[in-house]
Amino acid sequence: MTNSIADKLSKRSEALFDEQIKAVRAKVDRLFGLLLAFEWLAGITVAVLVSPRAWTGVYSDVHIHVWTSVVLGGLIVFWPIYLSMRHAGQDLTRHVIAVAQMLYSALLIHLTGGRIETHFHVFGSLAFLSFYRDWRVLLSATVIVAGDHVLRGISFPQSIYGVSSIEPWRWVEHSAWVIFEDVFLMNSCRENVTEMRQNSRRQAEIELTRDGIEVVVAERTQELQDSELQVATQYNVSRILADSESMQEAAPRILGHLSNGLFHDVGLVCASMWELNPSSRDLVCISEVQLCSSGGKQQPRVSKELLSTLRQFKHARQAADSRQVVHQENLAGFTADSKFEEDASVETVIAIPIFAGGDVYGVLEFCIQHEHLLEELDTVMLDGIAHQIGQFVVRGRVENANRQLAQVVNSASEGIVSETVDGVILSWNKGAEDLLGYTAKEVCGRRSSMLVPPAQLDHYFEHLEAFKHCQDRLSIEAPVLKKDGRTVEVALSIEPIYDERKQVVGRSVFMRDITERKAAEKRVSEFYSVVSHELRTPLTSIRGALGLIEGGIITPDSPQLMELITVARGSSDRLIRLINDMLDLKKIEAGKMEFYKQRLEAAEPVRKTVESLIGFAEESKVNLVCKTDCREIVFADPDKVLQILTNLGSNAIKFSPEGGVVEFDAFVVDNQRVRFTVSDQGCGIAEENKGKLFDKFQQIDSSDTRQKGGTGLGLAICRALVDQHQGTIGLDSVVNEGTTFWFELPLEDCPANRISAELKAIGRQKGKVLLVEDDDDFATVVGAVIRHQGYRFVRAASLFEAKKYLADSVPDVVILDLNLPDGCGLDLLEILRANPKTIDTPVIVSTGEQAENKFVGNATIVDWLLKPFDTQRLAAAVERAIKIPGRCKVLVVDDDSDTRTVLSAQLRAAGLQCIEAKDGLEAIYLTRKEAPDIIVLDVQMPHVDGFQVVEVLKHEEEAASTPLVIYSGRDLTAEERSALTLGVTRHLTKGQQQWELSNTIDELLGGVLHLCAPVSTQESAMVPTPSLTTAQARAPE
Amino acid sequence: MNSVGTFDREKMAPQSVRRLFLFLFVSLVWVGAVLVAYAHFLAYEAKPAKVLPPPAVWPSGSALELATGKMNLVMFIHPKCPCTNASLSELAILMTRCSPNVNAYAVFLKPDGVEENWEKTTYWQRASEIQGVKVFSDEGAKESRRFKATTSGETLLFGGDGKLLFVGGITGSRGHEGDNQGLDSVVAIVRDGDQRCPRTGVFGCSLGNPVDCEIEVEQEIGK
Repeated sequence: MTNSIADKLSKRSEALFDEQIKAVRAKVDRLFGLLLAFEWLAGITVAVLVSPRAWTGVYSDVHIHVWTSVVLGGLIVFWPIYLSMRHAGQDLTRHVIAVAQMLYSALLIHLTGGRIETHFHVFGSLAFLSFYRDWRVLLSATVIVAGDHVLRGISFPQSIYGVSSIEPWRWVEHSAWVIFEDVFLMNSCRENVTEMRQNSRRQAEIELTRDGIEVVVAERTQELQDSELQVATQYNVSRILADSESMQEAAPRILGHLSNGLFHDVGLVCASMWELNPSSRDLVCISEVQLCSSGGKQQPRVSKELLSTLRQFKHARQAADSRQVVHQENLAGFTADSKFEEDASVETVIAIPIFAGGDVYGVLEFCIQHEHLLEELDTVMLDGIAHQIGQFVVRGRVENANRQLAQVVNSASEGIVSETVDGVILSWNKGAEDLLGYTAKEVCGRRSSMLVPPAQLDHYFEHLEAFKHCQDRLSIEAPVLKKDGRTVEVALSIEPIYDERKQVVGRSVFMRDITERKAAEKRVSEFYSVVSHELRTPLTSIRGALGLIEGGIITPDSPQLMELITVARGSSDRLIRLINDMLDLKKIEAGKMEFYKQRLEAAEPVRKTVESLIGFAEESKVNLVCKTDCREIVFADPDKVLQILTNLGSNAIKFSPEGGVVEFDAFVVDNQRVRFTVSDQGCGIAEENKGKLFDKFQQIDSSDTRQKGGTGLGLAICRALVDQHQGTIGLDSVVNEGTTFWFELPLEDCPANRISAELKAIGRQKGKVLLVEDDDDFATVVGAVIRHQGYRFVRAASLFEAKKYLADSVPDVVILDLNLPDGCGLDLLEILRANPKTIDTPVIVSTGEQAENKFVGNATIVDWLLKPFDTQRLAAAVERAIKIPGRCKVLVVDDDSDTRTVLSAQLRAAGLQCIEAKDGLEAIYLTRKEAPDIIVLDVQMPHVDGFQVVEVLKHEEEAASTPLVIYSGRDLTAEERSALTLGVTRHLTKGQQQWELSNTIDELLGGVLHLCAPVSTQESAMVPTPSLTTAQARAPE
Repeated sequence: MNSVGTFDREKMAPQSVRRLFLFLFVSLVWVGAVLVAYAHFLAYEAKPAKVLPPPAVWPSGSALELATGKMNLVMFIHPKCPCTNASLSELAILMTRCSPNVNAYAVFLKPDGVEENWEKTTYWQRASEIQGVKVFSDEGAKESRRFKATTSGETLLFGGDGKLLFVGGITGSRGHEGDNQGLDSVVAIVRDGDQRCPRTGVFGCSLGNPVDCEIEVEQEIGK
């Protein structure tokens, strides 16, 4: 160490001396530069003054002395002046200056004729040269002086000695004087240099001492700054942890402070905080901070690839597992990964485990650009910070658990109360507040006996006393007083609360309202009673009837046999209805009811409902009236709307007196909704019963229910179905006057489209319509309607014109006015029948006369329109007439021969052509061969099932658009329904009312089945009942 | 630092070494040039002017009066020649040494056509102050032509009988004072009666004599 200081001192001293001596010599160089310039100018000046011109008589020229002073003087001084300006301080410069100065002395001596005074210029110059403190310069000057004296003493002694003849050794004398001066000057130079060296050494010593002090001061200052930084960092981390609610919130701020604190100048490029998942023990990065600069220096950004590679080393995992700081330097040497050689942005990784109470909760990880050794003090502080964070994590988890527990307790629907062993209430949750009406503020601190009805106080105190000595859970059901004085049945679950010494210090009481449960139990009990009755009654009838037949009491040829079969059939219908209701309700409750919403004209389901219920109404001797012709469109599942209306309609019929009228209507409310109403003239419903009518198993009067039939589920199902359509359901009732049940569905957004797209697609079949009408205006209107429907329109104004047309052409439909100018329109029928081409041409009569008096039952007259009639009515009649029953083919596909036979019989009875296929293969074959108008397809069949049939037919051009009715015993999922789709497709379940199948076929064939029924003369009122409704179908699956 | 540093070969880069040698070479060239120029200057300083042979006896018709019984010294002076200062100094020394026995004339050239008092410069005054010296304004350079003097500082010494005893300069070189052969010769003639008639070099400006005189000079040179 000493040698080191001495070396340093010596070097510094030398450096200072060199610096100073060079400065002195450079300065003297510059002075001599100025002096030589001055001497040169002075010489010129003197020459100009003393001998400016040389004369020849009166003529003169510049004197040679002037030129000599300019040229020779300039020659002497230019080089040393140049060196003094450009290379001051260099050895050669001062030697050149010494030579020049001596040469100038020689010139002066020469010009003054060797005057002795001028020789002092030499001595003065030597003294001046000694300013260089370089004896060698004096030597150079002396050599020049001596040489000058020798040469000029020989060649021109007068110019230097002032005499023309001298002794040979005169130069020695002169040189000796010069040397004499040199001796003193050289000694002076040496002394000066020695003194300068001493000064330099002293200065070096001072500097070293000062540097040492500065180093110590800097070290102490740095230590203080580091210490201050550490304290500040710890304080900031503590403050962040105190302010934050979660690690996710605190982590980036902590990393930021650590980055700017402890790692502010070490080249930190990335800091991250990892959290240890308590269950999986995986480390999850919850925050990562990347720094673009450190300590004011820009640094490279860590690439994702490099970070990914770093993560593979799992420093954080090592730190978490070992619970010790992991410090990895020289990553490039640690791994052979080429990324570290290419991208040297990270050299060091430090991972510090976050722990508390011996458990690790995460890891702090720092990636540093350079190799960085963590100091012990930093390690201790980072450990401390990590411990702080660990404690924060623990505290946060405990608080979170407590908060969640408090939320659970407070949000519980059950009342949760804690009380002391003496029954003083300590806490009171929201559930208890909702249950009993008291707020926590009102009851806390008071005794729980305030909640006990007076009649139960004895039991309460018994339980209270017993519980002081009992540490078991107690579950009881008891009435409790509410704030409003009423009692509520609750289930109480009482648990002891222990202190840390396992002593019972109180109780927790869980209260659950069981009022509804009790009521439900009562309703279920009643339901079972009802259902039991509803099940047993028809079963008894069936069993009784079958027993009579089986026992031979009623013989097959007995006229009572059919009566008993009808009874059994009716009872089985009741059973099916009950089971279907229960299943529907179960589906709704389970959320598995599927809805197939589509654009639906409001009046359509109303009409269908009326059609379907007309038989039931006739039995009940109740008249049905359909008042609506609402063309507004709703977006709803047609089956479900039909089901709601049927339920409401059935109820209305059931509760209507004989001869009463049940009205169905649909109309727009507030331009936003369509309200469907079913009004009866029954006894009405009391106000207090209205609220519970739509609840499950609700019966206003059980005895009445038994009288009228029903399960108490119908209205509940209706409400659920309406809810699923975002609609509302309700009723208006006046006792003894009647009741109107209604439900509202939101309007479809584009009411302009009045006709269902599907029905329109069916109706857009080209055809030719002949109108035989003499009234021009009427013909114009009808023509517009017919053309709008897509048909070709031909008009004949008289019988004559009609006959003429029919002679050459065959119309698809004839609209016939009866009162024509040249005869009765019915005469045309004979002409049509006479022609084989027109023998089956349907005829729609348009007249002002009633139909019953004329030709009712004529098969070719498919409709009778009583003027005035609605144009839509005319359009519908034409649609149906185009498809007369005899032309429609139905392919029935079912592997069960009985089902096939029954369905075919029913369809044939409705006037349709029927083709049967016993399996999928045959179905495909017959579809290709016969091109049926509609296919009724079972799903589950041997070899080729319904899915495969549909899949094949989908790819056939003609068959792909064929209407399809899936008639299966299984419930189909949405995916299965989607797969089982051809043209317009409906999915029906076997076991439903038979009219559903017939209605569906009728709908898909454009109302063709209605043509088989007697023609109604009541416009838009009594719709003919399809003949199929009386048929029964057996649908085994 | 290097720009003011010493030429330490060990520390210097090759480029600096080359520069050092270049400087040394330039310095040597510089010293050589100085010496050559100095030598030329010395040669000029030591080169005397060409003079014509003077008349062997005091010319008749001269405005200058020959003093019998004394030595008669005539110095021709160009009043504006810088070398005249040295010549007058030497003349003063000479007169100091030989004053009673020498009748000295300082003849100041006054060519034709010059302004009044052209010849009366500081040298005129100085010459007037030398004891035993008579100043004479040589108007039209008549006396110069009589005595065939061509160069300022040219000095002629005649005996009391008008016989030429010495001709030449009394300075050792151009404008240089100090002991010299001319002065010593004159003193020797005056004091010791030395009968030799040495000739010394004359260092000074030309007096610009008339053409006839120049022709004679040319003829002399031609001979």
